[in-house]
Amino acid sequence: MAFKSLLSLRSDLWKWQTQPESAIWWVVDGACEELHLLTQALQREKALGVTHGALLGKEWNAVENSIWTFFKVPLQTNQIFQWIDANTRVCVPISTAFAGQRVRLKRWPNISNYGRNASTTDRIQIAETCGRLLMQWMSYEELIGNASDPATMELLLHDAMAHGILAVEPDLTAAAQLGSQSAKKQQPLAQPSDDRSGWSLVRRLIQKFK
Amino acid sequence: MQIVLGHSIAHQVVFVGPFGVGKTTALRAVSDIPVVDTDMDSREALASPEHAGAGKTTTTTAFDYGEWRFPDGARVSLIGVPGQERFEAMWDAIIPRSSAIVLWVYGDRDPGLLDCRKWLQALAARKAVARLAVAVTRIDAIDAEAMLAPYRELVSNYHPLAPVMTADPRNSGDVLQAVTIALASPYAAFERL
Repeated sequence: MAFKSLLSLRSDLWKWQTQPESAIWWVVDGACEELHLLTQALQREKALGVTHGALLGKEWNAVENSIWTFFKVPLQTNQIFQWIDANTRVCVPISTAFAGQRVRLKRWPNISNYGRNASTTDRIQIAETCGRLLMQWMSYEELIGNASDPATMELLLHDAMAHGILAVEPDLTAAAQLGSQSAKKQQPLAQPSDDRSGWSLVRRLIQKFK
Repeated sequence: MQIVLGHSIAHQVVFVGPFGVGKTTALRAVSDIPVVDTDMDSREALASPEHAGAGKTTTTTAFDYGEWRFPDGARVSLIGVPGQERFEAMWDAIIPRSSAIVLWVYGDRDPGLLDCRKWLQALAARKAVARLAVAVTRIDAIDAEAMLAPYRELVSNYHPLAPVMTADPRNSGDVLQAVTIALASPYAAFERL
């Protein structure tokens, strides 16, 4: 009831369902006897699509699985609203905000915020990329191009910017490289006699026995 | 016959932190071999309603050992050391040999920050703060930034670039991110060179 009352303070329209499978947002009492079954059901639903689970309880110990987001009772309005806002946040589109820029992190972000539903490999890649971003500048295009989950990386950059831990500057190196690449394209192609590849050796060997 | 010299372990990551924070749980969450543990029944666990209520009745008396393989094939040995000071001899034996440290601390208790300081001092005394990630447990994702702020401030006194993150020791993704950032920390890379 308290949760329902809190939601009525928001401008969103909420439709209440009796069957968990029909709902996108699940709100469960931590003392519920069927919690184990609901946890399994939530895991199944999350595998199929976007479903969010809130577990309400007096103690953190009530959380038997990290698939739930825990809210301690009495409920705090701002916490509930932040949870809803965070989960309704539309993934930031690949924007032009950082296009042509290079970026660098000033400190580690709270990395567990990113890739909660991603594979282990993707989560490790995000961590490794952040490690590189602390040590060196990286062009935004390279960063997004190499990311296995570009939307998450984009979100991380935007959050880092908002928290003041992202340094951004124009990517002059990329522009210079672009210039030198176009100059190289105008150079004549290497002569066949300079070909030192494996195929060249094979061809010379065949010629020898002709 | 295949002759094997040495072993394939590339890194050794040590989990440290106060008693009951979830070091053994974290290790079990990610190890891809059966975890070798030295758990014994613990009077202090049984005496603490909080730990006993959560089903924790044992404590690590020497160390826990597990292993995990990175997607690139590199193997990491994961070692959990006991949280109590009376097992300090194990810290001396294991911590200085590590590639990186993950310090697990409580985020929902008053002594959480105090525990964190105590552990940072213990690690600093063993010259192990340069290879560090701090994983703060039992924090709601919603409040994370505000809750992490005092930990970040404290940790920065020992290591300006040490990663501080929220993590659930039961969640393998969180644990692996903690291990990865400990190894990927710029300062850690510098020390390994």
